Amino acid sequence: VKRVNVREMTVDQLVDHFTILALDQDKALLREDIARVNQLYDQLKLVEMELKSRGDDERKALLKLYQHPNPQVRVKALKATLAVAPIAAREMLEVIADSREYPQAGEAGMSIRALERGIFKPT
Amino acid sequence: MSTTQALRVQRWQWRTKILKTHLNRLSPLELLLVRPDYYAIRFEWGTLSRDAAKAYNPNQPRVPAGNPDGGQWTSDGSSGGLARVRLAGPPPTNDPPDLPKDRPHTSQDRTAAIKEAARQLGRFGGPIGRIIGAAYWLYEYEAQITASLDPPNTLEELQKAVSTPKLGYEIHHIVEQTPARQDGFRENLVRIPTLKHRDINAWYQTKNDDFGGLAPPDYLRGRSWDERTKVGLDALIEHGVLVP
Repeated sequence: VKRVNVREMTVDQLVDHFTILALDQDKALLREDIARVNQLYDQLKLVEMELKSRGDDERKALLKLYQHPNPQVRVKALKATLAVAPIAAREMLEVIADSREYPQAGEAGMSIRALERGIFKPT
Repeated sequence: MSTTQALRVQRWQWRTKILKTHLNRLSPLELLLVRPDYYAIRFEWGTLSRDAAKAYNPNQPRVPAGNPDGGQWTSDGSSGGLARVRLAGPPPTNDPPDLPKDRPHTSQDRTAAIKEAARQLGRFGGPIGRIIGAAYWLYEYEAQITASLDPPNTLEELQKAVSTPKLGYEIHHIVEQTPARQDGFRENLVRIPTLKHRDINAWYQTKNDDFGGLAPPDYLRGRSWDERTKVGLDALIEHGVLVP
């Protein structure tokens, strides 16, 4: 596996890398390769944290992924941007939860519940 | 109706309200322009993603950085109307993949193909033969694939079905098996579609921002039976198995 250094990437490259990781996670979910899904979760968080540390919180660059055709990319981008675009991200989570496109609809719905219950506090 | 149930119903009504007021009032053309993602999910997923992929031009200009839409695709002026709608980010890659004609050798590859068939059936509708095509081996899993599209049932119906095994369905523990056994909880079992059972189990095992980066069982460890039951029932609702 090719090692990447997120600190050396531009914002656009980080967004592209985030997309690739989320697409891989979608494949791993289909295969029920849970170890790989969790490994990719950690890598996605690294990208998210790197974007957060750039300038005036560059996680907003992930907003463009709200329109990506893959539901896993959308749901990961939404959850990563809840702190910088709370209203838009929340509304889009509702759309995915209602889409009946599983398992992403399930994850989106559970995130809404965690937000409502105050378990999930995006920062 | 309990307060919890009333809140649950209220939230679902709120969802419906959002969709009706913000999205469903739009014409298909407006919806496509304003929210292509929702349009794709509801109306024309396959066509949109295939057309977008065909129309993809790596040299198409983007909005310069510094603008609110910086980095988004913008019109290259070569065409008008719907052809100018672009999906943001990298080129679309989500055309439905072909299902393998030959039975995969590994369990993981078979699972992926079965779930992909269920996903496509949910997205494009039946008959199932149109989805499966030449991947005849998938007929062995037809019951699982079609059961995944079942509408949600009541908790009573799901619990009652436990005593009647059926192809395409599995017994699911609302709360994980070990704590349920320890607490002597007897009404913990429901019969649900196999693929939903597997999706929910996968959700339980994966790290999640919702729980501070923990997998749900790690977050729930040591918490009350009520809290674990609530998460278990919520998971059934949000995966489309249990009516809210």
